[in-house]
Amino acid sequence: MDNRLLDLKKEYDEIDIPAELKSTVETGIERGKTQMKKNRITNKFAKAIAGIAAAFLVLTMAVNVSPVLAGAMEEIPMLGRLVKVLQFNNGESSGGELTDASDISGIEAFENAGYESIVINFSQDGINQESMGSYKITYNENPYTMTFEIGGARRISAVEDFEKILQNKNVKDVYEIITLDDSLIRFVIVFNNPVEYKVEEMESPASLVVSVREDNEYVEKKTYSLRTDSHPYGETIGIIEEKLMSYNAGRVLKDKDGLFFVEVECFDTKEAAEQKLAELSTDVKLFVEERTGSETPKSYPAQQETGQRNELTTEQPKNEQALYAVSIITDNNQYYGNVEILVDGINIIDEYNQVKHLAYQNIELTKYNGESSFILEIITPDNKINVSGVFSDFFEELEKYTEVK
Amino acid sequence: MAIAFKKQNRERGDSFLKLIEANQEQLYKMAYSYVKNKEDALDIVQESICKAYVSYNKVKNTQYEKSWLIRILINTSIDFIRKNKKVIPLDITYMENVIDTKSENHHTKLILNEALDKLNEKQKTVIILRYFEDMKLDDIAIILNTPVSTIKSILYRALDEMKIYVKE
Repeated sequence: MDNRLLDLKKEYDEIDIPAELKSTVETGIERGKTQMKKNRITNKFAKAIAGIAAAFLVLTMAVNVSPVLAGAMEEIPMLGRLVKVLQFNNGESSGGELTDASDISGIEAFENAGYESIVINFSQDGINQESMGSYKITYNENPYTMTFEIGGARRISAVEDFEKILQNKNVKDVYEIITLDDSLIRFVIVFNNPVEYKVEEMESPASLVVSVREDNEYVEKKTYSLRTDSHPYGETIGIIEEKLMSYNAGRVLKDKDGLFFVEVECFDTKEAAEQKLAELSTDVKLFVEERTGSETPKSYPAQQETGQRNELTTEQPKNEQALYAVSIITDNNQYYGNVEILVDGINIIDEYNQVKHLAYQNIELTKYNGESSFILEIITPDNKINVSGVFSDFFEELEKYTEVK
Repeated sequence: MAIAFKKQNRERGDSFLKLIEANQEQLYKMAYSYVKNKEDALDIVQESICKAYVSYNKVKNTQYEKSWLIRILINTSIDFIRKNKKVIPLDITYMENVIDTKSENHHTKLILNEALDKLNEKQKTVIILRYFEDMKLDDIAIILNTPVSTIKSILYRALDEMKIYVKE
């Protein structure tokens, strides 16, 4: 057996090595090289395609799997199709269609071709709006502001995104202003310097793209602003603005102390401003303030208002603090008014300052104490009146003069 | 980084050439013992080297590169035989070799060769590696990626079958 195998081995060892072997080997290596190059290219292609495919897959899966991510993606403001580039006429431009229940849902800031851009997105019921609701944009100088009025907007859920606007180096401040109309939202962007601006309206999804860059050629000038006192954010400022509406009230601004005031108009000369002031006949106190460039308006807290309040407080001691602000409920009406406690009876003063005197001998009084408020039931010969107010010395005062059950 | 890669590639290329240089004759002989003719054996060698070149970077441990190379050759040979099962050209020189040898030895040799050819590919491979290439069973096990015990049983069965054929 071994011998035979040895024979076979001998035969194996004696296999002739052909001369062509060397060239065969070389061809083999060459073929390997070319194949390798081909592989490398196809590999690269395959990898790139696989990568793209994987990214898409992950994205689709993630969106389907995670509602949080889906929500986050919905909120990413996207740029839609350009509807128009707004033409500003006297710093004013408007557009859009009537809508309702709109929400300013996203604000994004980015830099683009030298312009700092701000994208403001709108949605309805959590879905990006197709086309813009009605809007009006006004650009004013001294200080440089852009006031946005968004019609049909009920809320602004992107308030936290105001931070993003502030990142824009041209922006000094951004704030919402009070509007006595629950389907209109207004906000103001204040710029650090005079700006060249461009506003584009986009659709699907609806957005406004505000692009600004510093206007270096603009010469800053001194202006004379006809304005009101400063008031804290609240209805007062809204009421003042409405009163001035007939005089084309310019804009609502925030002053140095964070209070708000209405600027009726801005003039180039002090004379013009004073002339206008003389022309206007309004019970709102107006005065002229001199300002330059981006200077933030000074704060003039409403003296008049506090003065009125002082009068009220001085009035009260006169009446021996017998005037109480209350809510008055009658059989078919409810209104706010005051109750005055007198020696012989009580006066109910309604919102139109009409006084109704009720003598103690004609009425029956019952008190109900709440935790921090009281209710006084007054039974008169004709009807029943409930008076409720915040807890005070009301009953102590009342019981001096009459009996309360 | 790129330079380092290129350098590494060149080094790799060099060591590949060395590996082929050292083993090309053995590769040829093994291929020849499968197909029994020069042309096919050369084809197999070329194909094997091409395959080896492409995947040489996958060999991490140079200790096993020879085993790896031989495995490629064996697989290529077996593939080749399977593809060309119906046509087995007989090499003229082989015939001459056979005829030239002295009659007595020649007869058994021919029978033995026939016996060898009748073995299946795995058995044949083990016989070639063990007796012709004088390899250790452990090395054969590595080349064929099979446990040593299996290699042993294949070998004994092969020898057994050959003995049976030889006896006939």
